[in-house]
Amino acid sequence: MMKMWKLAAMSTVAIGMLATSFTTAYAGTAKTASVSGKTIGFADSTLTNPYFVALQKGVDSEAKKYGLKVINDNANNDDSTQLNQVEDLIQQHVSVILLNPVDSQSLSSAVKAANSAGIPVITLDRSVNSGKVATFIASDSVLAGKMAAQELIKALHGKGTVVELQGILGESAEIDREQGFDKEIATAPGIKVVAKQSANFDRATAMNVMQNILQAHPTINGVFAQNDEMALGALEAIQQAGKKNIKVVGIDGEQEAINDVNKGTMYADIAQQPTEEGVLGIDYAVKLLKGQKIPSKVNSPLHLVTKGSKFKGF
Amino acid sequence: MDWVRKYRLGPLIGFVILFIVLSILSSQFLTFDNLRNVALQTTVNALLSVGMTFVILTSGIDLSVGSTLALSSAIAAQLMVSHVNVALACIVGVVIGGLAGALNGLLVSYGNLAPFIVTLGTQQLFRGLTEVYTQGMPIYNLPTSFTDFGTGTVLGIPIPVILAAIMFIAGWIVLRKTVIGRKIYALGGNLKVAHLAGIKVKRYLVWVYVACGVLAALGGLVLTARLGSAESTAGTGYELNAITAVVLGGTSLLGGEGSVIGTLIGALILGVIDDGLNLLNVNSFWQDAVTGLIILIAILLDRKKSR
Amino acid sequence: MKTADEKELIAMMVGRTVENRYPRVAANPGETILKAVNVRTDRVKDASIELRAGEIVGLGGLMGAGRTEFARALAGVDRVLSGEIEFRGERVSFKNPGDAIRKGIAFVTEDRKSQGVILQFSVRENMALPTLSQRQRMGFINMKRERTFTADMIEKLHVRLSSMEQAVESLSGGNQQKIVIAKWLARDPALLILDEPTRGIDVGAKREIYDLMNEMKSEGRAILMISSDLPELLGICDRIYVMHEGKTMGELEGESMNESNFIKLATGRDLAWIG
Repeated sequence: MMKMWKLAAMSTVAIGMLATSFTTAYAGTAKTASVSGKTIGFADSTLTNPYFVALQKGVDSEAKKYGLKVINDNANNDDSTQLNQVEDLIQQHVSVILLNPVDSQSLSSAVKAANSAGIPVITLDRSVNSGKVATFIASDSVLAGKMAAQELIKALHGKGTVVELQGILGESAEIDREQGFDKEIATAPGIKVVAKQSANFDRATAMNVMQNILQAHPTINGVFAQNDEMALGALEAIQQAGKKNIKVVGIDGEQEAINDVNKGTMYADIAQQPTEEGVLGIDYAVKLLKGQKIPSKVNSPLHLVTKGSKFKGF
Repeated sequence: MDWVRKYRLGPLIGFVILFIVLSILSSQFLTFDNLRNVALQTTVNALLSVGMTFVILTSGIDLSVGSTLALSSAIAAQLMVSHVNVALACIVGVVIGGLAGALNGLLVSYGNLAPFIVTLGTQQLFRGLTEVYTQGMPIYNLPTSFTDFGTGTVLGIPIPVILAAIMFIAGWIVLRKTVIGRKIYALGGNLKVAHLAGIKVKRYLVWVYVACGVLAALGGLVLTARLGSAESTAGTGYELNAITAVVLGGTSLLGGEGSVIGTLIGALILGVIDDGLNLLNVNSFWQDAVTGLIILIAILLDRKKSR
Repeated sequence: MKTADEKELIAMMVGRTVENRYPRVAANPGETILKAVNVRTDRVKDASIELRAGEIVGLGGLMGAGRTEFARALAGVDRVLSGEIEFRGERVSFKNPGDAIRKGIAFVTEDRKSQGVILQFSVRENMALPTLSQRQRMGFINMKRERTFTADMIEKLHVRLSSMEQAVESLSGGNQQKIVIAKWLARDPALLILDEPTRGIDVGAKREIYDLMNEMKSEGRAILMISSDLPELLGICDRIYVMHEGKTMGELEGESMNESNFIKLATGRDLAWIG
């Protein structure tokens, strides 16, 4: 008798699970179905960087508009943590996974796992090397580097010496921003890059590196920092050295950097819009749920911030 | 070479060679401004490594100093932007550092746990608390009375450098001249012998970790004052720099052997390497490899006779 | 071929004849220094002992009888679970070795290399350790006094070395043992507990240790010696307590202090019963 009961209970559960998966699949393809009440999983790489905090804010606020539930995960920049988190999201049968991968290689397997479970994945800010991604939403880093170079050329009237502060070597943002900048700055024959040093996207490191570079090149005219943290560190070093008229351009759109641009201590900032990126993530997730076709790459807008612009950073 | 080993001159010789080579390679290296920069840039690591020397002398290790630095400076900075008196905020920061160290010390001594494991845990704990506290956002717009402490000079010498120098001298006096210092060496040299000699080893261990936490907090205040902002990611990986400085300085990871003077030289070697690589505009891809190579050479110079 | 007897062999090793391997000095026992009754610890079941000033008392037994463990309890190293210890007429309960040291108990442990000296430290640093606070002012060590102190102790105990800055590990076992004894003697203890003080050291140094013990005895200190060397125990001690399986089985003194009685007690038999 006990066996019978057990069997009955198990089959009930199994049928229930099948039913829910069917309804999910159905809702996913129905064009007119409301998305309200569905769950989106968002696997963020870290919350120690204001950028990714803003990204999460964008996701949360936009999801609220559609009445979507969001499961937020923070991987603390650890790829195996994130792998586990994505696997958990798959177990919970979320409708779409928004992924800001810690590492483009190691998170490929997470994307493949979601693929085989039939859950679409949208990557934010960084993407993965393999596995099927519904769309990749990010600002164009090559373009950001190019815009930064254009601003420096403009600031120096095409003549002078500049320094480039690189991020963590080998990271895609570092490679792309450098590529965009180097190619564009080469179009101005009067401008020479006299030093190119890595400061690991870190403010304290950038301050020290900039101090040292200023010893070697006391008369430089401009600095391109591949992110705002380094721009802020460089700015600190420049101010402490009592130097004036060194034009600093950064990328990211951090609040603190925007303030410096408005004060005139920093020349310009190429702002990314992480909140906007998060919003786009939800918007495209909704399109997917409604069964609409979406492009494989979406550019999140860049915003050139110069003195006096009303732009608000993150 | 015997006298090199006897008086532990390996680190010093390594430093002098490095110094001469850089003076030849770069015309800007041997200038007052540049040397002042090197000193200034070494202060944070120097402060952390004084504390680390104490801990390593007891045959312990503190992997949490970078996180302690972040936590204490975030709290101090937040108090400052909330218009709390700057001196008071600094004191609170230092106390937080001391409490963080006390937690490590209590777990190591009375909890009888391995320092490596304990501080690996508290490293995460303190970093996590910092993230929760700051919500990942930098704290800036700090009062100038505070940032002046990071950027100001007395007789041309930066205030942080003076602070670090005082801590080094204090550390040297404690270790070399006092009963407390001798007992720290003893408990690192042989815990059982120290215990049987009537030394309250557990109490001493706690205080050693407290000192390390306090110095980490001081390092955090210096970093924050220099940068003009406190960040939750501040000090990430600094524990390794501090340990490297201590080991470069000839202090044995087994405990009981070493000195803060060695550590000072170790910290300066690291500072000079960073500075030199920047001055010479060495390709970024090569910098880590070059740094590693110099560290290995310095350690080889200090290699002891095999027993 | 000539065979050497023990005496000749020793003479050849030491370079001089050692007239009496176990020099004995007449005991003149004074007040009771330590009295322990029914002491029980994790490893000691029931041990009692009484030591008077100016005598050397042996603590014997087979390996694992609980001798070292009993000594550790008396020296404040191991926790006493029940029983009473009286030191110089005062009831004591030590929480740590420091408590016992401050009262005037010195404990020279059995394992010299791991518990007696800090091998990589200098002779001076080792000797100075238990008495650091006696040569300090406001927490600062008086280095001049420390060097004088060390030189005095080296002379007093005839430690053979080239410099007081020499690492202890470079000395012979006998000289290392003298350093351990010296650092404790410096505390002017009323009671010295010596656990296997002559193990692993050469015959000449053994003799020096015995002489030292006799000197301490005539200075009016109480000495408790643990030894697995039965002739040594019978030769040096004024009285002997014998332990078996964590218990003190009895006390041997004067006439009764001989090998066969010792073995009876050490193997758990009763003297009176077997006779």
